[in-house]
Amino acid sequence: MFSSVYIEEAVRDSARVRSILQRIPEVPRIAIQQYGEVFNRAKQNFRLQKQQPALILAHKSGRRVLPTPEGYGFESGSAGKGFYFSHMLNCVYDCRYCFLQGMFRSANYVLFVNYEDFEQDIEATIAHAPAGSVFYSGYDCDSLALEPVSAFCESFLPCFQRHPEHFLEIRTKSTQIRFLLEREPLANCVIAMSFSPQVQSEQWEHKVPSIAKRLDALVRLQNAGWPVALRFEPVIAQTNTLSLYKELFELVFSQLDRRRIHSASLGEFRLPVDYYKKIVKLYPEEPLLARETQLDDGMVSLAHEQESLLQDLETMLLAYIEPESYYRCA
Amino acid sequence: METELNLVIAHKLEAKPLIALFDMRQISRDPAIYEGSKLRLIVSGQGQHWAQEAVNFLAQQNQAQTIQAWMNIGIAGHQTLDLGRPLLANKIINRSSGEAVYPAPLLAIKQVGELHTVDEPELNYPQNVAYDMEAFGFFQAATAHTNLELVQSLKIISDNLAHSADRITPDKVLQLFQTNTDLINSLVADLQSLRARMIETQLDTPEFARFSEQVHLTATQRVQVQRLCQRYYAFGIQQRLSELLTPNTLGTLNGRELVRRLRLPLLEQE
Repeated sequence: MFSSVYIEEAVRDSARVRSILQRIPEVPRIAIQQYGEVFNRAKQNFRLQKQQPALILAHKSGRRVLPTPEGYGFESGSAGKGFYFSHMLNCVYDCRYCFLQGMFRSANYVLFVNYEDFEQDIEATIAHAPAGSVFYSGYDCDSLALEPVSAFCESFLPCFQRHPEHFLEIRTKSTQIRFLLEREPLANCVIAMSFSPQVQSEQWEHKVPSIAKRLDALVRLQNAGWPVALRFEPVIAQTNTLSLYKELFELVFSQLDRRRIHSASLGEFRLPVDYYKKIVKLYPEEPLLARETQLDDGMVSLAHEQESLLQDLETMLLAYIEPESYYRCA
Repeated sequence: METELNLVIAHKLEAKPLIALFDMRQISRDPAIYEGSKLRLIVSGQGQHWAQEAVNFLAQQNQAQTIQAWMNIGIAGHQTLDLGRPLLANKIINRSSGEAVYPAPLLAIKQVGELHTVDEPELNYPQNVAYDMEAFGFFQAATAHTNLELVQSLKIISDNLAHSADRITPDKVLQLFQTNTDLINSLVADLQSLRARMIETQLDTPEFARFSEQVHLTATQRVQVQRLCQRYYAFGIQQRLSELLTPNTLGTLNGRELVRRLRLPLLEQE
């Protein structure tokens, strides 16, 4: 599962670290002072490391809860505000379009284990946030994919149970839902699953569970009473894109109860230009990254008619869900 | 022959079994350098300083600046580990400064552990770690020349609390290495494979080399042409590059025109 586990001195004796280490007894352990001395080093190759990532158990200091960019999520248009927190950096999946490849020097997973500090900061943020605010947990990672090791849900859900007027979005491509199915659902904790059309998923979403498995997980969560959401991101134009999405929408909405879908979104493939350049260097042979791009305000996107495609997809999607459940990710 | 991997070995005694293992021949006496199939071995002498000097010397020989992997192999002491047990360092501490470095854990070996590089032979083994005299300096120097995933240090335990270092003999060293021959072979091969994967991912196209030779390109145009050639490969249409590589065409192109001509067919791709 992990090639090694690095353990920061500051968290070495914490109960959470001991519990995590018990779950991975075979993995070699390496003591470190501060996670940056492994994670932020120069001359690392993200692509090589991705073959056998290590786990880094660390303490997160500084600001732990931050505002999301304007228009990021489903709080847009409401009185609520958007915030994100990253208890983990990097993702167990290997999606070729993912910005994390360009954001971090290392493909190792950093798990910040001082969850209580995150919760305190979430509580402090909630104290000044308008009702309906949303806290996103899957911003720099996949929140569920490491659940058996991280026990993220077990730790963070009680905090949101105390604050039903605010939302937690758990963004994921994972089918690690056992913990969620074993507990009472929370109306303000949204499990948001990302989907791309089958052919694109096979092409670019390496190590990600199949669409069928993800959909099955989502159906089970919905049947158990959890609010589920659909994230059709990133939209990438290709030959027959509309028919690919038509097929995907038909499949997804034939299995989920569409009246009980919390929200659905579309978002285009966009990356900060510096991240994009780094990813191109890592994967120069990747056709997706060889396509014509356009640069707008420091963000790179594909050059081909994304806007009209998104509009067509919106029309298709709105045949399945109510307009108030839809948003476009900026 | 292109060197893929450099072996940095402190003592001639440690080098001897490796020279035999990799069928190497001596190509330099001072410093002592041996060459085998895609491998070089340098006998550095004892201590961090000489390990660094050896790395830098071999790196300077790499005039084409190709990517190379580096491995330091040698004997080490340990408080508790049995003699002959291998240990691939996953953390190397310079005991005199307290600094630590972390070789990437990408090689398939279970025997990994912490290694302390000391300035004088450690005969008391105060901590349950391995002790050597070169690895930290070696790692610092080698990672200045290549990616850190390609720098590793393998130690074979030669002494411990029960078997002191003064009982190490030339025959014993030979025996320690011989019992680890298969492991050394496989780690060297693994490191060469990692290097190969790193080179593959750079996608150096032969067409770019030819364009750079035959058309005057500014620094910016070089970057543009290199990427444009890579994009042809990404789309699987690299054969179309040959249309531009005829002597008649190349003779008429300047850098700007070459970039424009290369870009046109890519506009249609998705």
